[in-house]
Amino acid sequence: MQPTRTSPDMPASSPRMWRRFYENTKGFFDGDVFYSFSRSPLTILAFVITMAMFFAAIFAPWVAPYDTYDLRSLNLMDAYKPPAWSPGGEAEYLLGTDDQGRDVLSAIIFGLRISLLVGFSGVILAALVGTIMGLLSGYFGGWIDAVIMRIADVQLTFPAILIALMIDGIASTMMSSQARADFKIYVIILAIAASLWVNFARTVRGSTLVEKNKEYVQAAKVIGIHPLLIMIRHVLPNVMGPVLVIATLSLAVAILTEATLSFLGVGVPPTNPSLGTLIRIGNDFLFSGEWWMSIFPGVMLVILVLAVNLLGDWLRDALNPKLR
Amino acid sequence: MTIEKPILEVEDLSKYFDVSAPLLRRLVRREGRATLRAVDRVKFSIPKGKTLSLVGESGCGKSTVARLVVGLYEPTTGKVVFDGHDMAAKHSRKEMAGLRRRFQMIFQDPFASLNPRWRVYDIIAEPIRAHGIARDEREISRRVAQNLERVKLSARDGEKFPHEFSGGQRQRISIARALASEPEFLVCDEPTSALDVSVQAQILNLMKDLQRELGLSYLFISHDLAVVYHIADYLGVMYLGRLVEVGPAREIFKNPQHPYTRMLLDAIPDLEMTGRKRIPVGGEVPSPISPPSGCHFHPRCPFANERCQREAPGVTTLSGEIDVRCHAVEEGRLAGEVEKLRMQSSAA
Repeated sequence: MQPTRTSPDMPASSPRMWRRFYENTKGFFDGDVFYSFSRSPLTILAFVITMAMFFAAIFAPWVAPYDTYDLRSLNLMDAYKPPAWSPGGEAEYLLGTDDQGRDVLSAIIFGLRISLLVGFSGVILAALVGTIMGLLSGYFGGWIDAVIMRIADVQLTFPAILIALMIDGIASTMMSSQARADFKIYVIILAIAASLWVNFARTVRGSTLVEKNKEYVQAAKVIGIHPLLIMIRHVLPNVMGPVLVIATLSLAVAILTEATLSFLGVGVPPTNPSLGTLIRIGNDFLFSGEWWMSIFPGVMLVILVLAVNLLGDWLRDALNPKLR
Repeated sequence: MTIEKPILEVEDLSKYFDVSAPLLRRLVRREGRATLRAVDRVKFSIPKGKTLSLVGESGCGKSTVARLVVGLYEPTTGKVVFDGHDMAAKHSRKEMAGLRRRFQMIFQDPFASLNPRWRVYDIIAEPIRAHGIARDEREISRRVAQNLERVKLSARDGEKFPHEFSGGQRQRISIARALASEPEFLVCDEPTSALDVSVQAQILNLMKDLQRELGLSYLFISHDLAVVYHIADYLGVMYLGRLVEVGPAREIFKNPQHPYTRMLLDAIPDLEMTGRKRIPVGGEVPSPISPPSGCHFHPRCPFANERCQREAPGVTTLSGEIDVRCHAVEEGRLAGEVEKLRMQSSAA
């Protein structure tokens, strides 16, 4: 048996593949999920906002009015400028400037980039690890299941922030401060993934337990398909629905966790600020009247998390066959 | 029942399941381990090109036998010999793959036996790809089309998903998948019990046609005697994990021996036999975890005596190649007692 030939996919140029691609695309727009989407104005709004933020984050160097990484563009003379509409504000700094003369709007857009990068990477890592663990645990059962699920239980007793602080502590004793600053972002991603994988693992395990006893899995066993191939090709596609929902909801949690960690000062460094870092920096100036430095990144964070959460809620309902 | 050169021989086959409570609860309540004897020393064989049907009430272990035969369960004792190869002895994947190609299984629930995310084409192509029967994509699609047409579906149906088909059509897709690796032997676990009666007949006729065309042998699990009457060459009757009667189907239908077989056949509603006196057998199937002593059937058997409660009956081979496990048959007192019972009930 050659695994390369057992893939259900067609060769890349096959006309069957293109016909399927067309049918799948058409099927999606004719399908229940798209219908439910088009019927929910709130979801469309949340989707548009999320997409706009993704767009701004990805194309930050072109969207943002200033490059906040370019230290030469900073001018301390421009520091502490209020938003454009308040007295003393200047039109070129729409949301004002911070203590170093950085444009707050540009900082938010670049910060969004870091927040989304960390959030996405964390969730993808968590989903990957969690799904694999859940599949192994549910499909093989026995001691593999016992070990993985006990690790998950222990994991669940630690909040994400504690894990992040712990990983940060370990990292700081092992690495020089320069290396720490460079690796900080990976440490945060790892901490977020470490706190989120359990949700994926448990859900996937539950669905796998249901799927593995269905007769199509037994039919594959009788044919003599390797257990790992059965897991990947038969069980996995049938447990992906809940994973998608949890991933969306987890993205909001991950962004918030990152913001919290950055606010506490164990997150990404101020030279490369995320939304959380911006809020922390601005927080120092809140009482001296420069409210815009922390309020605007905060509002941005709230809108982002709310939009992602609304999308996740809708997805959960749309993919739940009992609510259709 | 002795058969020259059978395709499948099952000898002394048992499967015990451990159904003990968790360790801590066992210790607290001072209970021992509990085992469920789903299949208990079953022996039968199937000749090439013939059908053996296993019948029995729910929970008698007939599906477990099917799963043991295809290797979904490991037997506790005994062996399954497929065309001279002892299946338990083969352990390397390579050796098993050669044998696996030659037998397949059809499942009960056509709604669960096809992966809902796969197209029918890929479902049927799976065994072809897995066993390396055809490597070239054009040859695979030719074989898929051939198998779809064998089960009276169109080759174009391959592009659809399973949910676009009815129960009977899905069961035919299941059969097409089973046939794709060109097996000689099919294990069918109640393939018609989830279908409407009219569709059942279609599937059964299709299976009989395929048997004739391709020379297939079937192990056919069912609880429906009407279906079995239609398809079986040989019949095995199971009760609480034991095979109580096995032999040529025509003989058993005409002249059932074991009291349990008589009870099952008497339970078939039949217009022609309206008014006939039936042997009254009441009661429920006892729990297989703590089955009755001796002959498992004795609490429900009108002919049971003290010996039936004490010892498990051995095999008695009767004329017509029927093997029966019953003390009353062995002692030759059954025929007389059945007659006596008939007289009594018609007098009353």
